[in-house]
Amino acid sequence: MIYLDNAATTRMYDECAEIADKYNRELYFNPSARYRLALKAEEAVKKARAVIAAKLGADEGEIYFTASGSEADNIALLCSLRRKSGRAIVGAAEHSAVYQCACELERRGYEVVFAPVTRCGAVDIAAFSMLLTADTVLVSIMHVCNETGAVNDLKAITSLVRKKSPRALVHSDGVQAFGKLPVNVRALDVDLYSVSGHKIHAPKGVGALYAKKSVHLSPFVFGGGQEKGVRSATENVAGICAFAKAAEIIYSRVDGCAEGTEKGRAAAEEYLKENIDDIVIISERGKCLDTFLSLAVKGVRGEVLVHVLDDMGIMIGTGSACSSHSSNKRIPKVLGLDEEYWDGMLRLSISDLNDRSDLLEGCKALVDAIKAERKYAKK
Amino acid sequence: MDKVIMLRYGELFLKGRNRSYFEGVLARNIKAALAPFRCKFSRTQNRYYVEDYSFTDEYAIVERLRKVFGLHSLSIAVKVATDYENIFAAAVDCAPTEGTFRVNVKRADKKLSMNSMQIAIEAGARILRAKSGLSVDLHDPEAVVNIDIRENGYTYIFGESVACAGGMPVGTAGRGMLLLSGGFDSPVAGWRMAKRGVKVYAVHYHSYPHTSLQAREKVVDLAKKLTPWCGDITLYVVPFTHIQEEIHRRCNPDFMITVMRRVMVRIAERLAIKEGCGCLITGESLGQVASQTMESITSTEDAVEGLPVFRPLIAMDKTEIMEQAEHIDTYDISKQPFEDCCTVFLPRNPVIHPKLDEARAEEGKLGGEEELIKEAIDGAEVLHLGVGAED
Repeated sequence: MIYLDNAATTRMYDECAEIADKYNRELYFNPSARYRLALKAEEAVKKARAVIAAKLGADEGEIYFTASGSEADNIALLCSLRRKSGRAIVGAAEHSAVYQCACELERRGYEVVFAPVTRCGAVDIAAFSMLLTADTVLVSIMHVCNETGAVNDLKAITSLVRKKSPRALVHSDGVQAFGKLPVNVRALDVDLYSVSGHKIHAPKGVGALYAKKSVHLSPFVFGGGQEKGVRSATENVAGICAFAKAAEIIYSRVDGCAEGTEKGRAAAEEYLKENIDDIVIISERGKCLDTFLSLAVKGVRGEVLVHVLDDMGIMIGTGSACSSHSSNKRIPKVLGLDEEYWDGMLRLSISDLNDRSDLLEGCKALVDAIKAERKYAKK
Repeated sequence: MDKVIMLRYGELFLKGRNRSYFEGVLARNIKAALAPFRCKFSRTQNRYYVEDYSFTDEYAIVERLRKVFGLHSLSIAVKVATDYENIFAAAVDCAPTEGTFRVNVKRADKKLSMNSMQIAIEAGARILRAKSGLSVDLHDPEAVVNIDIRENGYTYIFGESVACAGGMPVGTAGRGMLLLSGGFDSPVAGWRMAKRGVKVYAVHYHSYPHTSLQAREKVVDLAKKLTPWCGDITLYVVPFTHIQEEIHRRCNPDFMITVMRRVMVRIAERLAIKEGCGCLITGESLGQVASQTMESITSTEDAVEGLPVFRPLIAMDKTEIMEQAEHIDTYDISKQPFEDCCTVFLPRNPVIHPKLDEARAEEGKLGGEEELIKEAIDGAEVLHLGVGAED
């Protein structure tokens, strides 16, 4: 089996599974309880918070654990604004968790505008700059595009915002960046930053939001007052501890495998270009993470190719798994893809658990599948 | 005081001498619907009773019974040993706290000293004393308290009746093979035929890898949704990819759908005969899509050799069909956007009014059709979906 859909989710590290098991079956106590073992659980959450804070360059008090990256995005966009009106600028290729929140902001009376992106999915900085106004209250631009791996120049973006829209909060969805890029929220000068556990080999059901001390968050879930009253609910101790462990492991590996990943990615792209006509490589080398290879082919539906490769034991994605159930063509449109490529979008994504040859193997199988399926193009 | 679900049946009364046969089938279907629950099922003349069930199962049992075709209505009753004090106490409990009411008494047990009228008056008086917000209205009451005194020494006290599905017991009108796609129409078509007593079998054409595994799952889910109404369903999932590829390769692309549908009904008819079905059932609605014009339907029907094709939706609007889909709870599954085999290989300009001789000629280009059909039938996955499989 070759798994090439790591941008959708990842296999849990064994170490994380062990930790999750420990906190589910041995130290399963409610951190709010007052007996000794419960204090251990509370202590574990505290430590985990410190780890995540450290990996983000933040203070512990600025980390809010959530149930997912999507939830972190929701809190960031829907619970941080004090003004009742103004402009919100959101990247056009944002994950649906941010995109749908932006639509909700619009319903609530904010003026929402979408910042255009380049063909590889990064925000077009010049165009973005034009959108900034004095009454802009929020900017949300993802750090790494979940569809293409494009890395946004967050620092440039925040510095423009500070200059032209001093009242605006800046949020970044860092779900695809965290664990793959060094992240320092202070250096990036963002106010809010979302991360997720299962994209970095932790269990599903845990994420976190960084919110700068000066940002006031109103409650998202009312209840027992956990996470400083923003997100009440008994802490997912097992998930949180496993998440911290995953962050430690992945950041100890990030630099080590960079060179091999880059070479493997380049070889795979070359193979595709040499062997298939009418293909667009969306993930541009140098502008996108080397763990991503997004592409689009003409005349074949991406979903069919996914099925064919699945039968060969190779798993790839058709763009964001979170949106592949809808017939929404938002992403290929904003990427400026020609319409005949819209149905043929695919995303191959690797992690540190892949062999170096996996991507190329996947592309070889893909080339064969595309050639076979093109026979059935519409007459 | 035990709670009892009283079941009444409707149209069966029309069936004269066959009545005991219809009753037997209905009882069997009710028992099948009750199979997942611990309860006692019994029959008396004109009535069925479900008792000794767990209170926590009551809602699920009622919901299940409401979907058994042939049942007209049901009531949740309190069953007491026939004794005036028991009866009046239960009648007071059964009455609402405000509004207007009336007491109806049926007295099959003539041994009691009070007659029906006297019992009704006494029960009404006690109810009025206990619940000051009520008043009597004999002609147009908001609530009715029914007291049904049976000869077996028990009395049943109940309020409102809940409407059931009506129709005829499934299995009393033969068997039919339903062509089940993932859309809105075919599940409704199957449901409507089941309501007339047809035992439904189903066939689905699957075009993996051109369609997704989810598309297949969707159809399985639809068939499962039908089982509370239709009883057990045998679903054939027929691999259709090779046939589509061959049609694509050999036939005029504009006739893709026409030929496809002819081959589909051929396969369906063979499976139907194998299962002892007396008809094919489709969800076609005249003019809804290109393959459902009069000429297209004629062309499809031409490929069926012996069995009649029933099209219960032929004159229904899409909105009416959607409403029925909501009613039978298949709507949310059908609206999922997984493509079924009909949308794959769609030609740019499908022929809308195919001429019969042309359709036959195009199908004739499909050399080795017999082998293709045999391969598809041999490769079919057969799923036996039990009642209540939707859980």
